[in-house]
Amino acid sequence: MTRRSLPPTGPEPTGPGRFGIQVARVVALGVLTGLAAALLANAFVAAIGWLNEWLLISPRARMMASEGIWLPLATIAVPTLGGLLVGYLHRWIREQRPHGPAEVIAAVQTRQDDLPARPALISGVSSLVSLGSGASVGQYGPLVHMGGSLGALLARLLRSDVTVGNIAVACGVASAIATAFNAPIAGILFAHEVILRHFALRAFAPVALAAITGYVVANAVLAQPPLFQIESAAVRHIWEFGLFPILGVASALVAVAYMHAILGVGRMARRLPLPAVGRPALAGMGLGLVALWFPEILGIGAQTLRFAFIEGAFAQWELLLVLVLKLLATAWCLGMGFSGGVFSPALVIGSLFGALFGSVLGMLFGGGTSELVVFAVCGMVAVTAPVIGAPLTTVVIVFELTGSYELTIAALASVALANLVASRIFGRSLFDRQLRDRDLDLSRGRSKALLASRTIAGLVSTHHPTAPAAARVADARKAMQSGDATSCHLVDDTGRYVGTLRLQRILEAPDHALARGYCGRDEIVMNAETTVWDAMNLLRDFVGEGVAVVDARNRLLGTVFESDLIRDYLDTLEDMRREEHATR
Amino acid sequence: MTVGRVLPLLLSLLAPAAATPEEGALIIGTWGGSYEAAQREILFAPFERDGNGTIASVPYSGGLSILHAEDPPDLVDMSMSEAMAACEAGLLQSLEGLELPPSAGGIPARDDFLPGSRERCAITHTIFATVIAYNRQAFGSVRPRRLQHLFDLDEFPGPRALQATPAGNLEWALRSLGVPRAELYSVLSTQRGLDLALDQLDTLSGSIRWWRDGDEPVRMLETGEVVMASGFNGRFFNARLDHGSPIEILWDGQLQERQTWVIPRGAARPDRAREFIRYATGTEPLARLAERMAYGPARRSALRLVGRHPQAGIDMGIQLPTHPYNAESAIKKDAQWYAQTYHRVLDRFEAWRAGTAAQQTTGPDQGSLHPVSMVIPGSERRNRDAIRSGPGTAHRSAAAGNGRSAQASPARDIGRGGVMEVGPRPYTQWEVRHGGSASRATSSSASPINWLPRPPCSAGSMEPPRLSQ
Repeated sequence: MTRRSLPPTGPEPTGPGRFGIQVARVVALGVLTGLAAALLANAFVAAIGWLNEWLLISPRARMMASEGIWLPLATIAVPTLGGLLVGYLHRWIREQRPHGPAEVIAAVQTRQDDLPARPALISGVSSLVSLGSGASVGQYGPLVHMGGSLGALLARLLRSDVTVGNIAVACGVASAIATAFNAPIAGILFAHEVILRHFALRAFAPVALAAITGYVVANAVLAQPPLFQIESAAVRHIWEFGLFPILGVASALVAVAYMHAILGVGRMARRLPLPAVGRPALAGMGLGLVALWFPEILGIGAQTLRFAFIEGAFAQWELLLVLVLKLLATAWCLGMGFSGGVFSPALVIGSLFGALFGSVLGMLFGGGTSELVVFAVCGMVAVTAPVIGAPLTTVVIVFELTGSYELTIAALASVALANLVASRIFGRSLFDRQLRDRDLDLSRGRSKALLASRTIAGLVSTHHPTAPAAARVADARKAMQSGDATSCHLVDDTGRYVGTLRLQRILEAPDHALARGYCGRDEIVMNAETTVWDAMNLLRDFVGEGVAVVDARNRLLGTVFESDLIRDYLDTLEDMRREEHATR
Repeated sequence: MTVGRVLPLLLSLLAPAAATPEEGALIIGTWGGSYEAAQREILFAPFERDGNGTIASVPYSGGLSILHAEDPPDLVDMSMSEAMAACEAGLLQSLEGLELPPSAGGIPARDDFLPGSRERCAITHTIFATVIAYNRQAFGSVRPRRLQHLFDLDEFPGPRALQATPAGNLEWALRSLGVPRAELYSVLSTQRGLDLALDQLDTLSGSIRWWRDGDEPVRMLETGEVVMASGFNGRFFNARLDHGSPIEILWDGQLQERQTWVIPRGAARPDRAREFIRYATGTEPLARLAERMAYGPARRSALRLVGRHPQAGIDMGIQLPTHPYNAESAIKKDAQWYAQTYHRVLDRFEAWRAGTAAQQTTGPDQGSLHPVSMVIPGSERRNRDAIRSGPGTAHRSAAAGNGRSAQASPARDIGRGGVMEVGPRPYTQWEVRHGGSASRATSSSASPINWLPRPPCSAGSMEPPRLSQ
């Protein structure tokens, strides 16, 4: 994989003209990406709603369906058949699993400009099928992924460089979130906090434009109701602000349990004696069976979320029961291969937990505490933020959706410690953990991830002298002379690498001696998959011109020159710094 | 007596005219009273003058039974949820192909009608609202402002008159718990949501007086029998207009419903019926009707033309449920949902009512609590129709035999003059229950309604209302 560094299109004017073109580009990038992602997001949400009505998943449709055998039959058949379709769709993705926000984060963090459209399209469709057929998964993960992929696609069409490409991805994500939540500021924050992970001024303008476009479109075309709406909530006593961090820490533990459950079911699923294509169908059938008694676990769970906000809608034991069921159902669906997000179920689980916390407190304090909805919102935020690794975004979502400053501060108080606790126990977010399991560790900073994600394949040069394994010292010297090099690789008849001969070792050697005898004993070799990060570490104690690169069967592919490697290392870090800090 | 039995009788009276199809009088099923009088003046008479033959009316007060008659009318003025149920049952003709005229300003009908006005078999002509109203003399300086106050017995004590149907009551119960309008029917679709709404209504049990006749809430508010009541906005408006009732409408949470024109499957004069619909849904007639009835016209162009009440001279725009001022927090009744779920919801609702009645052994309104079997007498078939077909129908079908005396329609008796009925003072009991002492009840001035107890908190204290934002 090589980094594309296409020159910017067109001549580069100077002065005010250049500035004008720059602004026009930023506006075009933001508005175009924002518009496309917003339309896609609204269409996606509308399609889910439509499918849920049509397939008897939404409570309204279930209520309106005539009584009889059809409803229980559909409750089992729809998720099962949906699962079957999802499993089949995923066969068309190389990794045999849906892509999601983790892929977007990986592509941006490693500056690989590698967010392909095909798996994005298939994952989008399979998410639609999953959500439409009632799987207990979220809708925002797919939206983030589709928005980001759309941004990447537009950037490719506009032939922009990697940095601009990353910003375009962020624009798509910001617009999707702004549209789906009707919360533009949260969209902007999410793109910076989770995707870009920096706050460069250069990125802000297009991302903000995209989010605003999303917000405008959200209200103009296929407008969707927000996921949650809270009309009133007030913190009754000032001392309750001391309770929210405690709720936050407890919520972090719930979040960790939730994330472990998802990963755990995933591991279990891989051990099942069942082909991957059949797993989602099995998951759907199990889900449908349980839903006969607990329809709450079907779908996104907007009604459960609503009930968690209302005092007396659930008894305490019901809160606990539905919480556990929803957590397990989500882990079951995602682990078994349904496609979808983790955010919406986390909202439901968190609000149930918050409501439970609040009602227990109410019991202890004799009902003197704030309304249940305050605790439900705090729990909701404090479970969700560690799962997606976005404390600020979740707090701002509360602010934008409720307009209540008091509730926002309460949410902030609960989130303050939640992310810290969860990141110590589990990791920055579920996405980061998924990436770590795929050997992309973001926990030691972006530069390591960036270097570890780049291989030396593009740096391999074949302009380095070689000599046959049986060559004499004189032949080897000649080869070095003609190649203008201070070393040469020895290769046998079949092209296999034998060793590297360095000039300083044969200065005194007789001409007729076998060159092979003068090769270094512990010569470093690399292969095409060696990462720049590993290569730099290997070269810590290396003195010389270049290192041989061999393939799996030890055949020589070429040489990586130390100077090329260092230049690439510096360029990579420089690009990263420019993306993160430069203002233009 | 039922519609089924009365109709043939009535129709036999019209038999000479109806003998030749498309030539006899066009027969329209509508709601009687001054509502019909207004329709006759603004719709029927000009239509007749235009050389379209005569128009005869038959009484209709809701339900689908009228459609089952051997010789149904050519047109019926029907609520949307009933129309949808009837359409589903194949009792109506499709109106999909019917082209409606553009507005006077040339706006095509498609853009001029409010969204959702047209269904397969029904075309909306007006939009009426079930609203909460209160007697302004029942409370001190602090008056109800939001629908939440319907459930706030501490701040606004006193009996409430509510319609004995799930529609409205369930929606308001959930709204008062903070459920947003957009989520009402999904929440009501869950067992938990329905229970929650009934639990919330339970908090009022003992203070509820159930009504079925659209004039009852007006009367109960006027006599002071209740302090708050739900009712049809037009009735409340007319009570104020006609005899200066101290009734204030709380537009917050108004439940909007559509009233439509439908053509029964067996109509004898479908072509003229269609011609009538084209005329009756025109901009000008709709605007003139709105000026008389305080119900919103279904066309935007008509809404702009609504002027003053022809007799009273007051501006009618602001009186309509669809006026932006009033409609800000309006709940749009999900007619489709009701059309398909009504019998289950009604069963649940009536079971709950029977339960509260059982608990409330000495309740003053026991007599008005009808278990479902009492509400809907008659044959099994009609019973089912009535239940299935929409809110309010149960009673209407049952009462339809009384012809024009059935008064559950919101669209009735506009401008009915009348003397305020001064009944006996009915609620010593709740005064005691709510802590009103005898001295408070009698020591007030001579004004007929001053004896209503003041809310405890407003007696002397200036505590601000406990308002959730």
